[in-house]
Amino acid sequence: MKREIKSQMKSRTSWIVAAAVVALLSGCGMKKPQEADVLNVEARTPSGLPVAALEWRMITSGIDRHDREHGTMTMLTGNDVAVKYAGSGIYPAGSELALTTWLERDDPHWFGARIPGTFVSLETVEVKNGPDGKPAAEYHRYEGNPAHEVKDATNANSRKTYLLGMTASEMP
Amino acid sequence: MRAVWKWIGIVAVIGIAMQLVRPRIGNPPVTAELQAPPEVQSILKNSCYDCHSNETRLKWFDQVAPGYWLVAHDVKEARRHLNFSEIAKLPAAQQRGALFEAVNMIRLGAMPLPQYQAMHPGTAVTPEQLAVLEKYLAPFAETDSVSAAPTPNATQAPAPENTVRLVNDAPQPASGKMSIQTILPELNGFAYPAGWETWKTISATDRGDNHTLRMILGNEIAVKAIAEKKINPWPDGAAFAKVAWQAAPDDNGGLKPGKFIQVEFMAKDASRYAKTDGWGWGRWRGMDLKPYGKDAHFVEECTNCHAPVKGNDFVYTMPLEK
Repeated sequence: MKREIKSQMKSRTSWIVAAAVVALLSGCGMKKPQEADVLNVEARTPSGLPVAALEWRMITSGIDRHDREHGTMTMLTGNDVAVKYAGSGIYPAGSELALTTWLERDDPHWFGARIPGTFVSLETVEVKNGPDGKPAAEYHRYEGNPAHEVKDATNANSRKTYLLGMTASEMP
Repeated sequence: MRAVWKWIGIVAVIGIAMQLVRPRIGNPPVTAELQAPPEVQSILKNSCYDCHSNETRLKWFDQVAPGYWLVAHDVKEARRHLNFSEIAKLPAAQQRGALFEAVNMIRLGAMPLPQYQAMHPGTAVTPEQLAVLEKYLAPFAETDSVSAAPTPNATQAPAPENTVRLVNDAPQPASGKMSIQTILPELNGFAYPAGWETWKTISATDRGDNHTLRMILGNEIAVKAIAEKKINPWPDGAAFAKVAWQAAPDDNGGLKPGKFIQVEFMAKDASRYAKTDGWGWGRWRGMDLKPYGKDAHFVEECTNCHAPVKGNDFVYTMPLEK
């Protein structure tokens, strides 16, 4: 486990060095920007996730800065049913929500902006018809790279309520 | 030999005649100078003021035509865009935005203009000086009233029970959307890209410089290009929507999107938009989606600001890798 973290850190450092080199070179107009300069490679979502959350439509986003070194950024996306009802106070069966969380990183192109950095977690809520015919919501949480499910019985209920209670961003 | 003297004579006469054409630069009065700490002001005075203020100091060689004509043009343009001698008359948020843009132009190597730096040694902004400017601007400072809010644990602050009902079937909620027909095109003719709400999220930004949260969406062609890693240059037909909201406090001491501010677009078509770097540009503000700008020249704001990222096909956004 320790080795895994270490190697993750190592690969992160090498990306930063690579990005710096790219920035220097492109500043001199010598070389075209490299992949890590135009694509946010660091924020790639891991394999092993049950849903492709970013294939769904955006509902809202959020920022948490309690940990000042690594604030987090979240995006709530949903399938077509969920998007239609997000924030209405009602979710019909068939609604699926996904909350993706990243650590924030400084935007290399804009001082004053932060963008998604390393992936932290994916949380999902699915509204299904239960065996009794009543709809019920199921919550799951995934972490790591490759991603694996993390069972967290203490927080599962409050997180489920939190996700279901998130209101959609104001849209024109 | 005589022919050589004749030509030297002709060149000298033309050279002297050129000196008579002198667009006026002048130094209008300093009416509302930027208020900033002395260490910040001294950097700006040293590297920016020759063009971006009413205290232009011309070297002797700046005053010799035809170079002088270029200098006069640059100073005029520079003052129109950002004038540190008059900036304090703008609202505070706009001043802050201008300073962030200035620092970013420096960071991206676009300012001071390379030709100016070459002729005026010592005007380049050093990394140490840049750090002074960045520290002064402090986009994510502790004093930020929202982030200084108390610290409850997000996972232990559930919404009240039963605020969301789970149902087998529900009537469709009413939509408050504006009808597409009533949304005017941009002043350069760029039409409002209807249906962008269904585009996919390709990134998001947390903007400490102007306290906004933004989502960047891409149309199908853009998303496919990202998946194939063919985004420099972007293919014709690719388009982005960047949606901005005021950052508002949420119930857990964090931030969430508040009031909708604007949606802006870039749409790639190398030949159709050849005059504007291969991209069509548009921005609609407010819930009534009013096209941005006074006239078609608004697009220069877009292209000027995006010029430093020419190497990335004029795109600032780094899409999330698929």
